[in-house]
Amino acid sequence: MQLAIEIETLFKEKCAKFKKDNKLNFGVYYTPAENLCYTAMKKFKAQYGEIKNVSDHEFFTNSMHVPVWKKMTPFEKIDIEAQLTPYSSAGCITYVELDAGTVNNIQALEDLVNYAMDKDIPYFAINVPSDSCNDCGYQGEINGKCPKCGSENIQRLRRVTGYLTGNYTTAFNLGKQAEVENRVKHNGLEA
Amino acid sequence: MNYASILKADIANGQGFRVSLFVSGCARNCKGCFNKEAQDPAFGKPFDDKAKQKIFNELEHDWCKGLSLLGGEPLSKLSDNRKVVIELAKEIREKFPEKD
Repeated sequence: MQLAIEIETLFKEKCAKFKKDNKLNFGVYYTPAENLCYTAMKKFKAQYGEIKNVSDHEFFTNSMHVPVWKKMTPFEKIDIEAQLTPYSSAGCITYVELDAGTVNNIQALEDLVNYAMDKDIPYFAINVPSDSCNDCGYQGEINGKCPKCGSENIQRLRRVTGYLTGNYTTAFNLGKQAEVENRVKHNGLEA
Repeated sequence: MNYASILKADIANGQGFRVSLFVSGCARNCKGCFNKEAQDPAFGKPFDDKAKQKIFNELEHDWCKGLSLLGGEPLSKLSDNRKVVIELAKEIREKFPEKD
């Protein structure tokens, strides 16, 4: 975390200098890097090969996010990311992944949003899978066939980088597709 | 009493974020049981002090609303579930009076 803070401080100070020197409005923005997270990793691997914990995935983790495959509660994730959000002057997001059961647990949503606000998260998002059966209209998380009518005609909405995507297996580059596959839910973890 | 698992930050088994204990043992064998393997009282691991401490650690968090008991059957007579669960509930009531 110390290293991360040093890097963000460097960005922040450089931006302040550019702003002053050029009289232009520079800012530190924590980008979703939809394409870069994949192409930069490809180039990195070509030059340096596969290094454990650095380039052993198909994509770089964007922004100051906890890697998507790390199993932890939403509260632990917020606690980590909240230490780095203050260095972004131009925009950043913190999100957590919950399962479809959220729809029956408004109390959990409220508690989670309040927790994020208390930690000064400037922009907070909760990703919930939203599947619907195109034949009978059933909504929830559908693994395989529709549990109500057995149809395989399913629309799978996922929020990946700031917007909802109809079919994440074709609508993204290989890096983000790999990221979606790597994502873990932050609720209901083995204690 | 044995238990199958303890889940933290669980939102599927009660209001808010909770800690959930799935105990082992149930004689009812209902149609459509969602945890058939946990009907066997020998399923999982013994519910020892370490397991109990895991639950207490979760209840320490302000965001943790309380404990949900599932199974198996928390009050099953196949093992000493009833005694262990009642003792656990009493201890939590005393240590964490604000939790449900």
